[in-house]
Amino acid sequence: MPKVNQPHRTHSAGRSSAQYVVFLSHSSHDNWIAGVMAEKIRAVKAETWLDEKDLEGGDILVEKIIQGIDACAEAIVLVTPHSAQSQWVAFEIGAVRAQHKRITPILYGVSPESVVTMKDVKAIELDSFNEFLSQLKKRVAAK
Amino acid sequence: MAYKVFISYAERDSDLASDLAQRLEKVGSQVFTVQDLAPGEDWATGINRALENSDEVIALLTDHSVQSQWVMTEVGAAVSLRKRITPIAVGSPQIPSLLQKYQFIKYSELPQYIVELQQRAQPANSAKRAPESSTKGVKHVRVASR
Repeated sequence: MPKVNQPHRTHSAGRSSAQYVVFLSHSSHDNWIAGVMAEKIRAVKAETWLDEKDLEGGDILVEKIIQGIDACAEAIVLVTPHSAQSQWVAFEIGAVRAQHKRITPILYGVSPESVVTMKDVKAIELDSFNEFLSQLKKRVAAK
Repeated sequence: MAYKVFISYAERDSDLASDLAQRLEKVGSQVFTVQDLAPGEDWATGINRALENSDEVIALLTDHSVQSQWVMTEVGAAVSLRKRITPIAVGSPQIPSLLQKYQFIKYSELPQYIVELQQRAQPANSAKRAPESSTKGVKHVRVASR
């Protein structure tokens, strides 16, 4: 049974109202990187929704993913040579965009054109993730 | 207002999609595909608009389309919007795991599907003015992310 990470509790009890949840779309081949990104997102006091898809990638229920997308305030997509071909990632991108939520492609080892369905969206390199985090921190604080 | 059906398909299967569209139009449905984007409209905005307005969605599955990023993205959008989705399998494509829970039909079963669709379309086609979209969950989805 694949593990589905529930949103982590942040340290600051602070507001008990809905937390700012970031949905992370990624390929199971990039689990480690996605995990590190999630840690850094939680460090700026957002919650994360992260599937740890097993390598076959088939067991995660569509419902769980949609729940995660319903609950999120925004999403990021870790785009690598693996995920650029992933059906699940494409599905998740479609699901997020249909809800008109902010989605940020984070590129690692691919060109911006590799996500054909997000040509209109500004992408950033993984190497610039800290910039994304400082902007995210502001959005979280503004909520 | 006519019953609206959105067809998600891969470009290489456009002949099949065209045939399907014609058969749907023959029974009074209005069909939307990626071809119906307004000039200059970007894909995501256009597809979302078309999907939001649709009454149900067909995913045309072939060996090509199951590999297609576009098709999977459209399916994701349709699922997110809680639209009724019917995958139609042409040949024996490898059904993506994310579609496995959906009842899919074979292309040869199309006539029966169209008959059932006509029944679903009755209220929309016979009403002078279509009622508010009754797609369950759409409004719920919009406020869920408070």
